[in-house]
Amino acid sequence: MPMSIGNQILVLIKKEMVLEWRSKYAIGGIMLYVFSTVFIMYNGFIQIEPHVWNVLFWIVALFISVNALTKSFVSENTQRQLYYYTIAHPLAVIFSKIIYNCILLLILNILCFLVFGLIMGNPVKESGLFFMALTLGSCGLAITFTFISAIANKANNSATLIAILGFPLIIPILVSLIKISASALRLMTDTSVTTDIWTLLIIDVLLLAMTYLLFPFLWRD
Amino acid sequence: MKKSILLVCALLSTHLLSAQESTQSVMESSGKIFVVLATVLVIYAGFMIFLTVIDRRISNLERQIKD
Amino acid sequence: MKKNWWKILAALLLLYTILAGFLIPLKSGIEYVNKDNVNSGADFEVRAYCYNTHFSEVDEIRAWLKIDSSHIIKAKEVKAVGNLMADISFSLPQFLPNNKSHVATLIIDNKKDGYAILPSAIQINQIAFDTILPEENFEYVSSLDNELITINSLSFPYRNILYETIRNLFFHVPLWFGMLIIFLVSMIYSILYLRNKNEIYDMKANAFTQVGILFGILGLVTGAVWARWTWGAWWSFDVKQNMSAIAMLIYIAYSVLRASFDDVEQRSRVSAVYNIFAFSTLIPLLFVIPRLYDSLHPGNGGNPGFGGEDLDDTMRMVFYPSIIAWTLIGVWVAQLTYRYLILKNKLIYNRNNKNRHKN
Repeated sequence: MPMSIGNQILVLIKKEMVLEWRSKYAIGGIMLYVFSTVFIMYNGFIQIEPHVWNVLFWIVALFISVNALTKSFVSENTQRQLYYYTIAHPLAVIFSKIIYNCILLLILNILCFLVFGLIMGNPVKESGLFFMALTLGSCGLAITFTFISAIANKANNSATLIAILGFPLIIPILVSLIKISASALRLMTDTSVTTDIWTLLIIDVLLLAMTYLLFPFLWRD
Repeated sequence: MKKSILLVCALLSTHLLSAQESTQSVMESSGKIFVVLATVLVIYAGFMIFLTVIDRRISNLERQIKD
Repeated sequence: MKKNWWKILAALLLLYTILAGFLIPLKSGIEYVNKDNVNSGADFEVRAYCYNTHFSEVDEIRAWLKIDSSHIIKAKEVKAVGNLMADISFSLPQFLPNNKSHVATLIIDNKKDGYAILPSAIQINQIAFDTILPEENFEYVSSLDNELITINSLSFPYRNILYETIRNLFFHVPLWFGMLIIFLVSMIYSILYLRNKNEIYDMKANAFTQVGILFGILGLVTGAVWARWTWGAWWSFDVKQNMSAIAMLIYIAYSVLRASFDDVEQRSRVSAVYNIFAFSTLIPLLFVIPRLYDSLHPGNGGNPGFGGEDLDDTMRMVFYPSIIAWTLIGVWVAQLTYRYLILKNKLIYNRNNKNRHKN
């Protein structure tokens, strides 16, 4: 019996979670990465200025997303993809992955924030704004890297390609994120924060729309 | 033919480099007109290099057709 | 010949751009003055250093100090010192308008060069007086609207710091417009490829991307040359410079992506998808993000755009054709590239067919 796309998405998200649960070492590895990075930075800087904190946080977040999301398509072998191809709608496949990756990345970024706060102190003054940036940023990173992972999966040396294709595309998101969180840290008095948030939201929606339009072409072989 | 184009390119690029490396005074003289000249020469060199690359590729193709 | 009319148009427009861009002279301008501070109630003489003026060839030079829109002081005497310098003497009133200090604008004109303006040229300080002169009845000129001499011959506006490099508007800026149009065309071919699966569209998209990268790199290099002699550094980490460099990275990544496939059909399909995705991220990169930041480029962060006074009618007359010229040249080069690609593809196809027959 064919399922609606919504149901397919739910089932696929559930499947992703089960797979993640089975291979807990992946998330554990990322947390280990965060801990060691923050520890090295703390040893290096000792006294960390808020604006340095801001930039470092987003760089670590960027590398978390690279580590966590590259596997979303690459780790799956061809047979399993063929299996999905026969049973699921392509949009269900990509959107389940995007939604799952958004949630995963948000959780990882919050954990990363906690580690940062624990070791290097918490300079965030406006938590609401900061978490807004965190949510929108996680979504943007998740959408871009999931799509790039899907593209790179078709090519030969995927791991390198993800960095080459993804990093330039992610810079607009990262730039506006650093600016929004700089206002959340009250590093700059800026009256145009709402414009920045709208910009970020529009970029996210644009990326999502392009994914929606383009993924079906990528998926069929 | 190809060599002569390359030679012209090389001459132009050295000319361009020397124009940039020379002192402030040359570039700032005559109302900075040499900056415009340098800009035009950069574009010229860029197009010449691109055309040379295409030219070489087409020569390769011709050789393949002959074989 | 009929089919190639646009190539002739491209060549002619480019010739026009180069000739007009180099031959039309600049308007005259005032570079700087040797005094920046004077006191009210005094007479003073100031030397103005001008650009592109011909003072020794004219009989009369006039000059004014504009304090505000309705208070303008006419110079008592203007003496030419060579072609490019003028000694101007003014006598100032004891009390300035509203009884406070002002920053005045200097205006000079003559019959040959027209008028030239130096905004915020001299600060006039209002000083306190022990004795007030009995008859303070200073004569201001109230308006210069019909007074100034304008010359009607073709000329580009004079801007301090820029000088002649304002002509770069016809060589640097069209590269960016051309690049955007060429990337747009490339994206359209990618869409056509995804719809029709015709290999030729993919080759066209590839060729246009290559030319777009050429335009982008030339834009960056020419921008760096221009910036070195106006802003003072090759690379100022200006937001538009950075974003353009990132745009180049995105499209160089496109070339890398193409190189990493063995299967032709898959390469065409995936790179078409990436090309469309890349162009859609180019829009926030080049149009939205730069608006959020201060920029040295005109038109960003409160800087006046190249519009209004900077882009006057004479500039427009050369600027718009220059955009068309450079874009058509780009299309021409792209056409050469994809014609090569199509030929190469045919050759490979024929060779494979021959081999098959042999077997």
